Amino acid sequence: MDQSADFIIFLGRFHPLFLHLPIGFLVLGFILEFVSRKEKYRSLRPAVGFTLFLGAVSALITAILGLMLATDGGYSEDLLAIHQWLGIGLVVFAFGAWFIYTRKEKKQDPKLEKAYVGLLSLMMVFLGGAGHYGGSLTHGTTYLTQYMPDGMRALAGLPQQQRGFKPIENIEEAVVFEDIVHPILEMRCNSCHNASKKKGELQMHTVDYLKKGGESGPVFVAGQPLDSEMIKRIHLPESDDDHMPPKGKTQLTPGQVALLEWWIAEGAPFDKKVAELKTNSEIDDILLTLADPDANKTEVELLLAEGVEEADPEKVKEIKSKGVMIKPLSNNENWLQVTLNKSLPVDELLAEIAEAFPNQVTWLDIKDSPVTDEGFASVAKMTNLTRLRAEKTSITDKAMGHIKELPYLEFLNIYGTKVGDEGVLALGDLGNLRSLYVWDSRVTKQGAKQLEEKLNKLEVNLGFEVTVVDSLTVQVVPVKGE
Amino acid sequence: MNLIEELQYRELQSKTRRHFIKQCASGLGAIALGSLMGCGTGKDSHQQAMEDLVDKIPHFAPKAKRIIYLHMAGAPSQLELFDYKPELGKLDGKDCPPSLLEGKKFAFIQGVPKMLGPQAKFLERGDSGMVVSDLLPHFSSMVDDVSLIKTMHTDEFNHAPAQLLLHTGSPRLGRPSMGSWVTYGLGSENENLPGFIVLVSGGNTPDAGKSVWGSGFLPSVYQGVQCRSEGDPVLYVGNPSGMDGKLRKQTIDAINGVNEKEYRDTGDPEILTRISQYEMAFRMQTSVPEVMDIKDEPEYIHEMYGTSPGKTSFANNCLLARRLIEKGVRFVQLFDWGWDTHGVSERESLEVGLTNKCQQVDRPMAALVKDLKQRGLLDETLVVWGGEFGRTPMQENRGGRVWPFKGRDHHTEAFPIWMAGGGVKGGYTLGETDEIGYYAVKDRVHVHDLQATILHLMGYDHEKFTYFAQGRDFRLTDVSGKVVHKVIA
Repeated sequence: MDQSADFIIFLGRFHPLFLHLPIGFLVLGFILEFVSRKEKYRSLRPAVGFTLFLGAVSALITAILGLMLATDGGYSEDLLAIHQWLGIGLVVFAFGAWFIYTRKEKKQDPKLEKAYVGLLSLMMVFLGGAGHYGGSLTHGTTYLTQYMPDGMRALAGLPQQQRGFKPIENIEEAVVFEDIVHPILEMRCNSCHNASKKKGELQMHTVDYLKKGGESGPVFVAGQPLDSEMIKRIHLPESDDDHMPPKGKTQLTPGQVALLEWWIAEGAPFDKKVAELKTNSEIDDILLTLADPDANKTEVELLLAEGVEEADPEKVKEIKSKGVMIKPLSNNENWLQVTLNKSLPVDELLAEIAEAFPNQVTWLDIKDSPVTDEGFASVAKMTNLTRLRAEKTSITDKAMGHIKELPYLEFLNIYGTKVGDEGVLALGDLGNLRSLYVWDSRVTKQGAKQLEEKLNKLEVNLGFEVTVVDSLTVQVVPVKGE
Repeated sequence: MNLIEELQYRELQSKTRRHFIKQCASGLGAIALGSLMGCGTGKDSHQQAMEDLVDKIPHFAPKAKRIIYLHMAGAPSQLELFDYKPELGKLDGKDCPPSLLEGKKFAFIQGVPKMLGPQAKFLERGDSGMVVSDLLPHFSSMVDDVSLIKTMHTDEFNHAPAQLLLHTGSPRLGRPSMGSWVTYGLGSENENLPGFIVLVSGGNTPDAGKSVWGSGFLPSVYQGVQCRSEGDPVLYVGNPSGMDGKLRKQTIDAINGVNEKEYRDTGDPEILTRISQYEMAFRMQTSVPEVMDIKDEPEYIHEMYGTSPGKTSFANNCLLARRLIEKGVRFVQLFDWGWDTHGVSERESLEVGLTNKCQQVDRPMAALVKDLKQRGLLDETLVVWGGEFGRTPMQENRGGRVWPFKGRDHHTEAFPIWMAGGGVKGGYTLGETDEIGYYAVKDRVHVHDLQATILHLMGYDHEKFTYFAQGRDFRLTDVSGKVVHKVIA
């Protein structure tokens, strides 16, 4: 008994393969019918009947296979019913059209001609309908429109697409499931786990179904993210058959995984707001990006992400030939990093580089070089400079005066130079400055402290103090501004 | 007619017209092929090859430009250093439950071993409250610069394959090491020094031998160069007695002249590698002794690291690592041997051996991180510390015996590594192991994941960073590996 049921399903699985035949034959018959009415293609006329006959027979076989496949279950009842009756209708109209065609060939009759054109048209409508609902059954109802451009969606009267997260205005008041978890599931899970597709007997598009789980049991264990089926599968290697989302589909981002884990760890509530759940700093950072994708990015990161126009390759080549190491930060960026060796005429080259690439140079390394204070006038022209290494040079406070207006300078290394308090205090307007290295320079603890108070992101490194405790122990404590 | 002239005469006599035509044809063919394949002749292409070595551009902007990898060969015990398990202490001396032994292979444990509680005290350290053993007091003062991963795991439970897997991505011989890959990808910043330098301490080279810094199928320029802190820094680079620098230079120029002629004749690019190696070796005769001489360091630096010039020690190697990094060396690989604490002798015991090893490395490794920091180098230098696997929560019972010392067997399921600088978070602990430290349970990190993360920090997508050899593309992470984004700042 079981054997024959299996065999029926085995045959039924040929339905998706076979269905392309009636589509091809019937569409061809329809085209032949109207094309052959033109004098030029008259010779095609006799083929119409034969093509329609092939189409009708293959439609019949396809319909039978389809009914066999339906015994397998797992399809949405409503969609299946529509598809089934459209398919059966198609078979009827196809045979009808062929039958009238053969009658009409024997005896010219305007009534038969009308009925023929009508049946042919109805057949095409049913063909389109059956095809469409069949597609909806296998791929899901939103398959076609998922990537429709917004303009077309407006015309078709569909709601606007939500790509990624819809920014959340007030994150504390957001409902964790509805506003944060559900959109993730919607984006990455529901296209296979919905009312019409139900992969693994699992539907995730409503709260009830999500709680119900699927073939492998519940989706989650409240409070136990690591014991939850969903999280376990997300963490399996991508090559594993049980990994979700399956290999080849867009994967969850680490942030999205962290949010799902957090929601389950907090008991998987369906009505609680963010403010009602415990968070840690990691989750806080991710939540911030839901309100504003750039929330955790610094001004410098935004600048670098924005990019810059390409530097003249000829000029780059020319300067490179003078012994300067100059190259892009990476393969897909135009930002340049420049390193000048101590054996080069650094001041002259700096002037030339600042002239040629005032916007592109963002990392500059002139450590241990004969650069002078005057050379820094050129450095000041590199407006997008973010990292500057000028340690172990003989520059003084004057050099700092030149670079006090570099808006994006984030990292400055001037250890082992003659720069003192006056020099670094001139940097008080560099709001993006985060790291300043002044060990072994003339900067004092007081000067460092004063600048740190002015620039709240800044950490000044004054080196370490070394005290020997015994033969095995030594205390190495950072020197702090005071 | 003397002997040589006679030989030449005989040889010429034996040449026939066939030889002449054959020589002409194959010689011309080789030249044509050379130019077809884009190899010009002489200096230009030679320079191009050298530029290729220097001018490498990564996939995305790197967070780390250089790496110092501190490998504790033999595998330090996580249960005495970074993974505090009070529950294991309660089980001390009890029989190991069969569930932990079923289907497992151990290197030495036989039958049913006894559980062994933590053999050190643990304390919360720094602002971050990272839990670290009192065996590492100096390290404890810098935990806020460190990302600790407690949940590393590996596939290999013996030293040599595990070291190979960690450093080359495969437990078998023949693949390029991480340092070779990185140098291949990013080139060198200093044309007078190799891009990849290896320093070894602890009395032995690691069990996997020199293959852990080999270049595999990558061109041999990317192979690690081992330097010694005692005697000649690099063997056979010094001049033999009676030969001065000028004569050596003349010799090398002459050899390179012959090689260049050969290159013009054949167009074989391996000859360019040979020429550049000779030139590099000559430059290294001055550059290496200079950078390897730590005598000129100020006293407080020696105090910080605990160095004593002229000896081979992990401390000296740490200081050398900093000096090499300052000079622009891309990858400095340190191996310290002697961490294999099985408990079968005093040296291999947790009570004495491990304590001694900790004393040898704790101070210099902390000094290294702090010294890099005060020089502003830590931001772009990644420091990695760890072994090749972890150790069992059970006491080793090799041969079914009770040994006089406490020790643990090799264990693949959980071991720690820490990273500092180079774009990783400070004061961050990743992952959790179970109550007795047997399995990593949360945020597991495979060896390939670590490699993927290191390459990511250097600006490379580990899946796209490949080299074609033996008929297919190879990568460091083989066919797996996921970047551990959680430790990246």
